[in-house]
Amino acid sequence: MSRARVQSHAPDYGLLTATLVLLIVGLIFVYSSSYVMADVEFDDPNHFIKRQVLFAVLGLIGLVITMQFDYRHLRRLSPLIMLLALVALAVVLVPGFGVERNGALRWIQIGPLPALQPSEFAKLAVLIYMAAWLASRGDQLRDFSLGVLPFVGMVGLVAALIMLEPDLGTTVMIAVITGTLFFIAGARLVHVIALAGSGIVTASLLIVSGGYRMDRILSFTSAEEDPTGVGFQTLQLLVAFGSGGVWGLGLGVSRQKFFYVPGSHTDGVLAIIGEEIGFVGVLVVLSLFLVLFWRAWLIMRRAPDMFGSLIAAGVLAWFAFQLLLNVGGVTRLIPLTGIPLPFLSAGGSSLLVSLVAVGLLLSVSRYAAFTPEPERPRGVQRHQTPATVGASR
Amino acid sequence: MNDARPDHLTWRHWVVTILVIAALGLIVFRLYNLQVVDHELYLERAIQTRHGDAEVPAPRGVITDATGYPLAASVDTWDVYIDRFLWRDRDQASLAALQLGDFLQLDPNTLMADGTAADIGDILVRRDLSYEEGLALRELELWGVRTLASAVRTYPEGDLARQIVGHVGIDGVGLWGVEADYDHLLRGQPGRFDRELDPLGRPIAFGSNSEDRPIRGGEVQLTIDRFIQAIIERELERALEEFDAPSGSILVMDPRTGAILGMASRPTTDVTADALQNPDLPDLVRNRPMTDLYEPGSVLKTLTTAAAIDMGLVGPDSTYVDEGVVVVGTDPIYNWDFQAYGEVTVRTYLQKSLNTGAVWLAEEVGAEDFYDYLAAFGIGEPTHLGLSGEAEGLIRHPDDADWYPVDLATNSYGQGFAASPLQVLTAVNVFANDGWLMRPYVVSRIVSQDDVRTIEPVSVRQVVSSNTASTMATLMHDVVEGVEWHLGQVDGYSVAGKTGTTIVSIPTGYDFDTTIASFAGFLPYEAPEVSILVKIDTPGGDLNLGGQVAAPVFSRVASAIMEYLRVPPRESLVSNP
Repeated sequence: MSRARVQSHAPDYGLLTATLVLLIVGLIFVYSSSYVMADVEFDDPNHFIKRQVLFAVLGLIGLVITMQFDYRHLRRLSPLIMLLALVALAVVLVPGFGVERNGALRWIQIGPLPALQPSEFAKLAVLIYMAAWLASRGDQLRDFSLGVLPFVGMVGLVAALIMLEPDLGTTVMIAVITGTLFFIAGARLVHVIALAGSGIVTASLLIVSGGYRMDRILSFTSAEEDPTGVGFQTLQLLVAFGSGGVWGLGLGVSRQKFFYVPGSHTDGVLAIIGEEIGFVGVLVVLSLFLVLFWRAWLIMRRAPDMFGSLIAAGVLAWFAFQLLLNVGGVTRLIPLTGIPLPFLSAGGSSLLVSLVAVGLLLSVSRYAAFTPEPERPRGVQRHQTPATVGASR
Repeated sequence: MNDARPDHLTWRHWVVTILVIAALGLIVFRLYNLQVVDHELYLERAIQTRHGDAEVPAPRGVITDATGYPLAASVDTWDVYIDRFLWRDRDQASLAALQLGDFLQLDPNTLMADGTAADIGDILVRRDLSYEEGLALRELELWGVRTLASAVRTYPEGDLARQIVGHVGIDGVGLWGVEADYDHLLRGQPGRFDRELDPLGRPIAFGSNSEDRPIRGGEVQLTIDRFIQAIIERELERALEEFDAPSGSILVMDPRTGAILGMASRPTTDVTADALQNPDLPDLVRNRPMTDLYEPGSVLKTLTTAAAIDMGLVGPDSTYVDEGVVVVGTDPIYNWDFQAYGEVTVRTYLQKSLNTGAVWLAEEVGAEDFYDYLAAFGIGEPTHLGLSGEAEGLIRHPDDADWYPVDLATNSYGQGFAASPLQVLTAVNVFANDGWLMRPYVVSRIVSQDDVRTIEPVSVRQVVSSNTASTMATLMHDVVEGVEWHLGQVDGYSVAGKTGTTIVSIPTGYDFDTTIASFAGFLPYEAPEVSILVKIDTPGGDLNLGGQVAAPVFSRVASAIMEYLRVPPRESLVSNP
């Protein structure tokens, strides 16, 4: 398939609209859920919302730039992007550069900007790099030493750097996103299962070894035995959801955000949404995500090339799994993982990178093929594997 | 759909898509259960968790003296607690411990140890921090440090009238005295906060809340005058030392109303922690003038004489022949000095306090009327002065199986039965009040939130005629003023009074060396302002008669009270103008 045939056109406005609505909902609830805490701890009820709005503006600028940029150039740039991400992940570990909070080195302070989280940017960098690499591998993916080993090496390196911070949640997210891409790109099932299995074993060992991580498991399994201790967060999240009922207590009047839900404006924001605007409100929010997923899914399906499709798949997997892990955690279906909700949780880096990722999807959408491609026989594409598409280049 | 377009979709995409959709479905189902099915459950749990149901103590009412000056008052304070749940955050806790230790002058290490000994619950680290200090502490907003409104009971006059005023325990309950007897009035009604609180116990801005405001405790005003009380406590202590006596009482009343202006007895107690642990505390906090019985001795001759005069049997100048002894049945009754005075008048018999005269008058009156008069004077009956623990009295009547005619004889001069000093002085007051018996009272006014109750003097009954009363007052005047150098005299004022020397009964009879020296009287004789009863128990020195021990104490007390009340002295009576 020739690149020249694919004209750029208008981006997917459906995706853009869903994103903007989610962004606005996010800003409303970051404000609602954070002002009490911000007032007490920073003497400024607007402390968090100001940062969030700043990053929303930066993110929208990033979104527009990325959208206008031809994503296909990223294929060549991907090694450089990856290198930058690795450097940033290494620098954050150097005391003096990295900013320590709560015993973790996760932030870098650049100039007057609020601190940034390199691991969030690494998420996007690894995604781009993996999409480029997988798109160029073709059938080699199915080979252990040519496909699996390089994959494990690259992902392992990034994961190791992030675990040194330490940040298990982001590590898991990167493993899940790249693993999904690996699977979708056509890896052998045996390899995928083996990788998933060893990933789970590694994660389990890490959980058992770190005291605070074990607390999360205990909080999940036996919250009732220590309702004011390790179980406090888990139970108070449920109380927030449950007391909201069908229609909620009303916008802005959550009680649980008064220090009952730790991280009420970050990981726990959906619980405050559930308390304030109820089951119906949560369904609306989830529906917005579904619209976003649906548009991303179409972009993934109709991307002009395998690279674009894998990028879309990666972003989709990223948003979808972060949503599932976050909501699963706050509703006590799975243990709490400390993963933010895209667009809704307070957190500058996460929001900025999420919006840039949407820009990337929009860029891919601008090159989605609308015109027939007569030289390809009908039905071939339908039955070809993604691997063969990549190989056909 | 245009099949010519690229389509990257494979079964692998579908696997992931279906897994994600299934997971989302599970989440929606979970949310439905949480928010719709179990809504009530979680709502209840939320209310339970956030529900702050705090009792707001009602300010305890003031106890004032007759002039309105507070004898007991409550001052707002703060109790300081550490919230151990919040102190699980050891970094914040150690910082707070340092600052709190600095503020309260406590060891931060101890605070840290106490505050982290458990993971839940509040621990009290300082009780009754002053109101201003508490406000300053609240300003610091230390992590996990709570202050709860409290109050401390203060007694501006210290231990003055401790037995009457009483004391409040740390749980806010009156332990004795007015604090205990009027506890229900003083304590008020605690209010209630019912509000939604955050985990630090701070109210949630728009959480639901309801509040019942506390109803402030009532104010109890006593008839006790703190200056008179101070005078009698001072003089009582001085007398006990001077006469080497273990215990004693002084009672001061307004004979025209029955109001108790001062009531003191020793030994007493202070309210230090050690004192409150003392097993003898119940003995020390008694108001002995009303709780303890004694044989009134010769003071009672006034009542015997009044009965005879009131019945018209004798007058002040009626005479009998004193032979120094009267034999009743087989029992000889002697005068206190074993002397015989020949023909004596009623006036002289009282002045010399001759037992034979009392026996003569009682026999003139007759047993039935004698005991009726005693009952009318309130002897052997609780006076209902408004404090708990009042004694009734021990007195045998002719109807009783163990009453013998000799009892009439001994009773006539105040032996062989027991009454409280309060009953005795209340009876003597009759002679200063036109023959009317006034009910003693110690609480003059109760001011509650919506009511002011003033206790008016109560005239119980007219015991003797007005004439009899004034005759008796004159006779008692002559007892003190008719004898040169009577120790009960008060410079500048004329006194009506009567001494009493009780021979203390022991199991085998009477011990003539062990006495209770007493004196009851009122002044000024012309227009009585106060009546005073002094009772010194078992003086240990050479002096043990009422006239030797109690009369001079009476004189000192009366003199000080006259001065305090600014009762103008009669110049003719001032010895050294």
